[in-house]
Amino acid sequence: MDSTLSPDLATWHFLSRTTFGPRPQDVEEARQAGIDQYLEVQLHPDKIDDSEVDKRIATLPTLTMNPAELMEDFPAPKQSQKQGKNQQPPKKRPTPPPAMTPDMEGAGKLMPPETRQIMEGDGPRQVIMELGREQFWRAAYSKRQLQEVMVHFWMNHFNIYAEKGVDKWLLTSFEQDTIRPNALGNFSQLLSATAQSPAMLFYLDNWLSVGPNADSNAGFAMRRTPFGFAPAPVAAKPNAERRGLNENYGRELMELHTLGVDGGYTQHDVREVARCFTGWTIDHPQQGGGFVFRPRMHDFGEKVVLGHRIGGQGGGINDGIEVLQILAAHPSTAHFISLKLCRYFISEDPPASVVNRTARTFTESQGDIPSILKTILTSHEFNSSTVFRAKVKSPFELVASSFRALDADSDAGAPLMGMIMRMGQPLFQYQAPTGYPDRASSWINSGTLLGRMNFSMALAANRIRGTQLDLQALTPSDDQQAIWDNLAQRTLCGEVSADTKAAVMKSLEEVGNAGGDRPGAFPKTSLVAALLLGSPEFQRR
Amino acid sequence: MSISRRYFLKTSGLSLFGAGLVPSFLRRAAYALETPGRRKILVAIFQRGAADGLNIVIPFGEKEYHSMRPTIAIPEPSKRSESGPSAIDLDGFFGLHPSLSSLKPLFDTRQLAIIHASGSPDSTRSHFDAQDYMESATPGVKSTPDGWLNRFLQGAPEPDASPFRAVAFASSTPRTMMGAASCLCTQDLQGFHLAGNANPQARGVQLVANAFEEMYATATDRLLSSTAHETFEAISTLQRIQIGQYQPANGAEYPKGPLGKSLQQVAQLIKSDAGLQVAFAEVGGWDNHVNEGGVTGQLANRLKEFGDALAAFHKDMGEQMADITVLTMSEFGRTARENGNRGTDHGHANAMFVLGGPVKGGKVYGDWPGLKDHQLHEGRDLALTTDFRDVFAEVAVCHLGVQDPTGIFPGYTVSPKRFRGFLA
Repeated sequence: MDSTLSPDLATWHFLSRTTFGPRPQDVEEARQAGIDQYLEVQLHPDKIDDSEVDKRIATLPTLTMNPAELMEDFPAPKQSQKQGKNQQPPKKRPTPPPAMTPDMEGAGKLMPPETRQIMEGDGPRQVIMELGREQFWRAAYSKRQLQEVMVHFWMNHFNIYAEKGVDKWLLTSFEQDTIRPNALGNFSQLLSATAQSPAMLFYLDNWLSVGPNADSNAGFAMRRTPFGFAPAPVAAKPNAERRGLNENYGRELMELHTLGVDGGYTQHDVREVARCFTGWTIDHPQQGGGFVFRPRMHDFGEKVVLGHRIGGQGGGINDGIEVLQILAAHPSTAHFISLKLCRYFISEDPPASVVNRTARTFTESQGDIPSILKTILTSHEFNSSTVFRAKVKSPFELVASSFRALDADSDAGAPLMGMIMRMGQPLFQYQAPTGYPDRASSWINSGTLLGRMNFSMALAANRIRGTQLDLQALTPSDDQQAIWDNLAQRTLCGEVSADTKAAVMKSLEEVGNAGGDRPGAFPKTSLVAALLLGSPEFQRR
Repeated sequence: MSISRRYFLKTSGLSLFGAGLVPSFLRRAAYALETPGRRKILVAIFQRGAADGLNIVIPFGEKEYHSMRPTIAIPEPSKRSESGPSAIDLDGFFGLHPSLSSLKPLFDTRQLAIIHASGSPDSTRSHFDAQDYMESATPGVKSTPDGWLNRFLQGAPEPDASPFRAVAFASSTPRTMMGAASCLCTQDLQGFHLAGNANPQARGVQLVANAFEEMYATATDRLLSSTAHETFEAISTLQRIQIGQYQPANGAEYPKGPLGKSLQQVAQLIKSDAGLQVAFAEVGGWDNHVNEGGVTGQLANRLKEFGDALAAFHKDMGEQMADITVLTMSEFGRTARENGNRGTDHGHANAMFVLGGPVKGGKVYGDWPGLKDHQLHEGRDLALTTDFRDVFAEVAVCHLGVQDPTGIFPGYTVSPKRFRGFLA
């Protein structure tokens, strides 16, 4: 039955979609201000004081370093060997206080081989670990929740795999300089920023792409560097096959970033787009340089992209810029991005009506993300009981929402991140440029569901190293009804199925019968919290 | 295994895969030939980091081999008596690395086949890209959402499948197994229980576990309820078969290390009839740019564990090997010449192993491209003569009984003519 939600549930529903989980104070704030006003504030993150979480993040030294500094201070152990350099201890920049040092003990064996390589020693593991901590802390504690939700959405939309070559040193800047400033800005600008980000240029190989007719073609060969192959102006070798056009970025730009797979482009368009982007490369990638356009690698011939003539006389860097403009303004892009946003905010298969209205807003506002979000979040399709808890939380969302509901604190170190990984979402480790599928079926299987229940138990019993839950503060009195009421309200707005409640109450009885609250047993508050966080209801938002 | 499906269809003279080309009575007849109730099992092993196929299955018959690898070449078998360990002769041209001595008896009894100069037609030398392409089985296409073994599972849906139908031994689901079909992923089945970092026997833990089982059993949330059912079924199966207490059969001894442990748990699942059809395990440590070693050293150590784990599994499984195929793969090979650091760099074609009862072993399959300068890929690497998809497809069709593999290999035209014929 399609019906409007009651005011209390509507507030809860709104917060569960636009934040990483409602906290009691968020509910109060939204109730007082009204949803529309609350949304208006969240759409202007610069006006929200976020100094508290910023202070935490200031303890992470790598977050303020640029790629060149990161590469210098956190070289991969293997790579310094290969270069035959003596390993010198990295120049010390401010180190985090001891409590913030990543606790790696026991985490290594949980990691996939490639990750383990990174997590061991003084290498780039610290860079990726700290980026994960920053993301978790912002998700759990930032007041700019909608911005943070959108940072995650776009990071996944423009997914980059940290383990590919130098990307492990580029991802920090990608998140901070490319995604976050544009997360609630304009889609066209966001798209351009990703197109010129070293992280994306490297991940999708565009930095290597040389035009077939580039005048400098004979002068380029692929030179082996510690990071892979780099175009270098050396004498032409007949065998340097990797020289040439690389279509990866051109294809994924249209298939994944803008038009969508059925967006109306052909293989010919892929090739032509790739030609337009030749010469978009990285200045000294092995030293952490930025975007640079190299005319000598560019194909100056005329191209036809989706029917538009591009290049020829006066072409150059503008060829790529023109492609981005065409794609950002294309109706298929408006539809594809709207569909993904509606899928994220409303339901896996959102009604066509709201997707179409959102696409119209996308086109009319020329990709203004706040306008697009307003269309979605104020729609009756969004504010409907049929989509209440329609979305399964990602593991990251599950953990963040647990923290927010129960006011937990954490160093967001390896023990916690390892649990998120075992639930199926190792951060920055999704290999394919598609990003994690936004589908319940891809998050839930027997192993990951077990991981969710284990996480709930571990958090509720204070058994995650580096993480603290103040059970005392969550226990208003020893009365089990009072404990239940408090926790059920915090985690699920009191909206709990009879079955879940019965199972919790039964286990409370059993604890009571055995005189269970003696030291060493599962305290009542832990028991109720574990069962609520691990309940079917709490897996959804 | 007197008449295989494949033989039957081959001799019927019909193209195997054209949609609708095989009359349905023939397809039914083909199915009927399969022994009912005896499930064919595939164990896929990924050697992550690009194993050096040229020092694993050594082309000692090539003059160039020895001159290209002055410090790491494995001596040819004839020199065995004078100078210690050397390649183990397979057929007068190829030899196994001496660390793989435990696999030689399996080659001799025709349980082990090798496909040399095999791999991906894409010439990327990035570990990431090449693993991605091999696991998705779509070289050159990055956006393929799922892995090839998951597509196999999707194409043969089993509504009441055991939670152990597909098991991956890894920290998070490997690309090969990713996708819509359910796959249990774990590093160690001994850790597959509900405990929340506490002692699983503790009374409070048991209370929580029971409460979870109850609330999920009756939940109206179908996805979560049915998955939880699988989870608890898996936990109770593992308790029943006492996953932590296992005595391998026939005196098999698994080597220490994650691969041995994974294969031992695969063996235990199969023997306890837990419903396993596809298992995946991985083993790292092959990326030897520096000091790779020859008859001893880094590669030799990895191979010792690798070969001993495969041999132990084979011995442990005994007669049940008749229904099992083990397939090994690595994203690409390594340079034909050793580098300045007594190691090798990222190369191209490699060697794959196929082990098991259904295998027509005792042979190194594939066309040998040679190691002379003009025969090398880009002047530096072993050239490719067998596309890994043809190896995967042969396993899918001839071992797992897939009728139409087009869905497993999108964008690729599978043709039995390109099968190397290593499966009986």
